[in-house]
Amino acid sequence: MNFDQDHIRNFCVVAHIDHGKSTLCDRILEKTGAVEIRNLQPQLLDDMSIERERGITIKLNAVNVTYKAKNGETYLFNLIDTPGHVDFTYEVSRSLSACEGAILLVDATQGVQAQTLANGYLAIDNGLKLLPVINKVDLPSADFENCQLELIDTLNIDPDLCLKVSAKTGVGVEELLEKIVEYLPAPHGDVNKNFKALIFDSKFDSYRGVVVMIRVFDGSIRVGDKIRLMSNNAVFQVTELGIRTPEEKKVDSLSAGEVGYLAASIKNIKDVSVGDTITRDDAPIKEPLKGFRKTTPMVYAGLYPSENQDFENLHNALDKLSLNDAALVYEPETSIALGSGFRCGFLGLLHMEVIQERLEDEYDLDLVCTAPSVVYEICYTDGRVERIQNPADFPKDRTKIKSTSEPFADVKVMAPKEFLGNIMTLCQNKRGEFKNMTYIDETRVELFYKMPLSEIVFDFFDRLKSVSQGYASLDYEPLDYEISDVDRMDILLNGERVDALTTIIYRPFAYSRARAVVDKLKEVIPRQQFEIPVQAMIGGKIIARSDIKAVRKDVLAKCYGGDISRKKKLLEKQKRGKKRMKEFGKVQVPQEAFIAMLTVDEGK
Amino acid sequence: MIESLYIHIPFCDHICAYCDFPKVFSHYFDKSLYVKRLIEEIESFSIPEKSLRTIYVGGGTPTSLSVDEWKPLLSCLSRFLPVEEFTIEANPESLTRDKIDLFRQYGVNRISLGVQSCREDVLSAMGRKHTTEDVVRAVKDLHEAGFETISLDFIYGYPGTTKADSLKDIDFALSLAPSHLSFYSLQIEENTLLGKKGTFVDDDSLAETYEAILARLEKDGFHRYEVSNFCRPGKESRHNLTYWHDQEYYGCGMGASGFVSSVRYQNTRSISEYLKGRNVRTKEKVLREDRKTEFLMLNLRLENGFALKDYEDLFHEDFQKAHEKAIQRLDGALCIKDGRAFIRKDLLYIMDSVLLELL
Repeated sequence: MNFDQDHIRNFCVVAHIDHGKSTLCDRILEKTGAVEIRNLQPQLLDDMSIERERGITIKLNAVNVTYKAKNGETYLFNLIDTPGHVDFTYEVSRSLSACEGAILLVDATQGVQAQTLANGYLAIDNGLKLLPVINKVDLPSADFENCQLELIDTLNIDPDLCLKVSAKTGVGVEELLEKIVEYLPAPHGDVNKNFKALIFDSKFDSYRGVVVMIRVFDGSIRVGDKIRLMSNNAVFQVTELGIRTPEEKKVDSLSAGEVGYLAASIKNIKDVSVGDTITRDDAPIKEPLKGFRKTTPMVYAGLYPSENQDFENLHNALDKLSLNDAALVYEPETSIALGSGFRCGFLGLLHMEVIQERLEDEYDLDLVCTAPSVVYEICYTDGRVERIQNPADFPKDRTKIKSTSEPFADVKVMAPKEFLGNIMTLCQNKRGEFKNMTYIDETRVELFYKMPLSEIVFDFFDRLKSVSQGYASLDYEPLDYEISDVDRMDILLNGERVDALTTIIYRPFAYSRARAVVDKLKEVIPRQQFEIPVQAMIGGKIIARSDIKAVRKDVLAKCYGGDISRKKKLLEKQKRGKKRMKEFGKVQVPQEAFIAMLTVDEGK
Repeated sequence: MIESLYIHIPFCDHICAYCDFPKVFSHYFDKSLYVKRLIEEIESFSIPEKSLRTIYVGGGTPTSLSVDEWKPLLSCLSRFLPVEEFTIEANPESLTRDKIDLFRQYGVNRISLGVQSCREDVLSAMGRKHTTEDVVRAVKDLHEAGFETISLDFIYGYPGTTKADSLKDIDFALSLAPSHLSFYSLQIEENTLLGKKGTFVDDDSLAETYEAILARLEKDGFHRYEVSNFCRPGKESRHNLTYWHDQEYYGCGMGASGFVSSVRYQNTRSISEYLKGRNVRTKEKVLREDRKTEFLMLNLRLENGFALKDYEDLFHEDFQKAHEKAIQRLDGALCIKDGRAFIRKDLLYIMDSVLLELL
């Protein structure tokens, strides 16, 4: 079926995390008949298992559905899902650019939260029209009127527009569908102009090569046409076009206003970058689409295969994953302790965990991931400036260093005022420089801090949630580098330096940090046949030590006929656990140790 | 040829706080019917007469059966006699003189007595219903009846006890002149009273007590032949060696396990099903690699490990060649001497960490 642009609505749903976005998307699919109820797995748009496990959307996804409106006409809805975590703001911006409208979803029990606003403003900035929807109105603690008031106050939204919805029970979803037709704008591209489309997602398929999700702005494209990618002028011939309903359905052409997928035998995944503009090779446009920033990784960590022979497999897996993930960067590196691996850049810790889990689950790799770090800048006495991604590269000789800098960020925390004290203490401990505080209304405040990025990207978000009983929300914007008194801290296990455990620390906090780290390592490294000293060293000086005592009992007291099968299974489990450990000298270190380094709580 | 038979008597008059064995309260069930089902199961194996070397009746509490309930079972077993070792596990309070005489009459030649502790308050905390006086009386009766091979079981590391208590247990044990002793560290199992209470035992203090027990018993002429088992020369439990040598055995009774024709099975753990004669078994065929794991994890519990030739006969590979790297890494923790492989004496209590290198 072909739709003129008047009968197309391209929209996304923006919301704070956990406000029910994926459930609403499921309900829309169900009500438009795209998915039969019996086939509906909860949160259908999240097709990665890790997303379902965590209840968050990481990869964006687009689905075309048709809707027969009350006016008797049928409309094509392109529903573009967006991620909802602070690590993924760039992905949100990509999907927003492909839309004319956005459903602004607010949890009626929680009200407007930091990311409701952050994403709401982002949508307005991208010229999107907002359709406010207040969700979870079936819950007893829902406060619809309060949400309306907050939306007026914060985003200047007409309270009459707010729809009452329960995505869970389906209440209000039909009204919402009508409102989408009525209120959200239709695309207004020019079919007669030269072809111009935006890549907002991509995925590797072993049969078709790179498959990209595109939004066509002007003109049209047919199978067989030659396209050009504007960032690198690479030319390809279109082999397949289609839409997702959510199953893939081939089409002959895609025209202005439409959203769909495109395959063009693109073999080299490096040719495609998300956010790029596609045009036709024989009739190119002059200017690419604006508004896309190249993503910059915030956190770097080393990823190493547990078994050295898996290096090439890891390389291939990273190549494939990076196709779906514009934010993932990597280059080979070598560690004395871990052998050959990759230094990888991530948006944040969650992004890092997601990548690591995907590599392990989807590519069946056993990995060791080193302690993540931001990029530090070192100014040498000879005037040379160097950026350090790997803490092990930080010079051991401080006499050659003139100064060190690290990236900072503006942080905005929104929370009910009763948590103010806890949050301010936390920010202080995280080297936050207080900027400003404003009352949003009588009960909620917004706090503004300047903070080193390294403090934010590790466990700040989790800590913030815990000190505010989950009520606080966080948004941050990276700033530039500033001088900061940092140094490398090495860890010695059984007297040997383990380069993969080297971290960069803020010197005034060195002693408490070192203490916390050696204690934490003592906790996570299992006792072995001999005593293992764990030492933290700064500038050649040991500043903290903790000893892992030798194991003294590791045997089953009773092992008779009936115990044999159970004991054997236990041993097999231990054997698998042991395989995942890395050996340094004679010391076996579990994977958790590298991450545990970061989540130490030195405040206690 | 299978040479060992295990028989499980699941009945208990009371349930001990630490026990994770298949068991039921005795007074709710028809024990005569149970014995009948047991006999049916034993017969179902068509075990050739005189093919067995060892018989072991464990529990539960085998002595919760009365003399009349014992008789048909013992007479069924008498067709396999004589055997090298015929053991019955006993609780001191229910090992009466008439049962002792009956056992003796039917060829039982070894009694394993559950003593656990010589401190009355500890016994009562454990949920044991005997006193040290019962123990003294039972052992005296056993000696009078002519039993020469008596084993006593103890538990160490029970909450509220110390190394000194275990040394007192040894004094008490030695005063009873047993030929075999088992000292088990308390092991907290999930489905026990202790497990439910969230009791915690500290490995370091267990190790310390164990070392004291070991030193003391060796001084008194008891030799440790397995992690938790000690004996006078030549008084090892032959039946239990069947398990540790990873040999096959028949197992009969509710919840009993067996190892026959390379299959490890476990009988139903439901007493009512077993009484109805519906014994649904869970089975696991032990394949070569699994068998290696079993062989090593069991044989290495023994102080003198295993003969390299036995390994080679079973797996058709040279043990040292097949584990060359691991043996090297273990750096002497696994000793190879006089054609045998065994764990270094002082490392037996952390044997799992050695074992994991080999697997």
